Amino acid sequence: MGKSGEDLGIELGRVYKAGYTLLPEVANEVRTAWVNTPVSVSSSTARGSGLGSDPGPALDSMLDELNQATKETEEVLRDVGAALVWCCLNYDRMDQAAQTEFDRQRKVVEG
Amino acid sequence: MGFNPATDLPARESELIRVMKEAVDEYLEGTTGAGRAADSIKKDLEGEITGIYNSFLDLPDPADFATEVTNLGRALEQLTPYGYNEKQEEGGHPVNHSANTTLSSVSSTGDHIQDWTGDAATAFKDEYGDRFLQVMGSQFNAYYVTRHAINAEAAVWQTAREDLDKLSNDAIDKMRHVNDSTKGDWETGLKVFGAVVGITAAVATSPISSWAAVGAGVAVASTGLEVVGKAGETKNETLNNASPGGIVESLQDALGKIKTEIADNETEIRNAVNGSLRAIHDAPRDFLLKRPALADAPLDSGSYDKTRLGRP
Repeated sequence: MGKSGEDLGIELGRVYKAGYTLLPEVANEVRTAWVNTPVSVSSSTARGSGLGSDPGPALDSMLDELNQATKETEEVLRDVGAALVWCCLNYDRMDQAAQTEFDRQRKVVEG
Repeated sequence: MGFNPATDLPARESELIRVMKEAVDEYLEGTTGAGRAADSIKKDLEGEITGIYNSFLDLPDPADFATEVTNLGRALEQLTPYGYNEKQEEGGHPVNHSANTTLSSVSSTGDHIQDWTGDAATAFKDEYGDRFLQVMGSQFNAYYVTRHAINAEAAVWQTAREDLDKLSNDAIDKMRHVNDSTKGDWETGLKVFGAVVGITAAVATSPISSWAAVGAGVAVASTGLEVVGKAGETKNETLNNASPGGIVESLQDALGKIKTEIADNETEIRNAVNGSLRAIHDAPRDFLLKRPALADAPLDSGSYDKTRLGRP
């Protein structure tokens, strides 16, 4: 038998906060990392006359990995957050006490 | 006005030829057949000097890496689950960066839904939330390697330019004084030998906390960040300044050493970056977690159960 009444409302409130506030906050941090990730440096490492051992292509590949990783991580966090919010708002087995408590918690979360 | 290889080196090449011709005339003055011998030597040496700097005319500019190094530093501050420190200016103390505690919200979200009955909830907790900080640590390490590799590349060109600036000026000066009886030795310290980086190809390993603090000496002017590894060493060279021909030969040798060191340093940088890329490709899920089913919950279906979150 699962939770019901006020306990369920509190539980849903916690999960709602995670989806509405906490995961988007982490997504914002990861997004800041992504927007600060250069796309390429090989135009700056280019040189004439075959001098040295140009690391530009390797660095570009690495930057590509970094951009993909942070972009995808941000998207996942936003999507999971949206799913948690949706689930709480559409939870279909709330009794009155659960609904009252969840509404109260939701108001706090949304400020 | 700073040293510009594209314009300064050709000008110094011309000046070296001009001064060499005077030096050869003076060197042979009073010897039998001086005129013809001098002409022959001058022609030979002019041939040797012409184009001597051609490999170095089109060099990367360390200033071009400043924005990338700065921005990657901002990214690191967001992605650090554990905190770290770096030396950001010459002789400065390590700058400490605290852990980004916001990141731990992902694992606490997993904890919140760990008792929920749906398989998507369980999978999120076990396969995403519980592993998130560790994987962010790997992403942080990859960013760290990349930032310091780019900074090391800037250091290579900063030190190579400093060496070329000094060497090309010194060659003219030594040629001008080749016939002085009190000229002394020609000694020079090539800084590009100290730009070698010791970047480890660490990605999916232990957290980096104070890596850059190992670095000593070379602060890259354009980025303000010290180079990791055995930076700051110089290789002292004693060059031959006994005759005009000796000076030209020494200059050729020193330029060859600079070339070799540039290639060696850049090979280290490439190895570090390629090693990190290999680590990512060998264990991709240590670097980027698989998209959890919860992220693709079919919200527009209108059916709660299809989200597979289950019940608390």
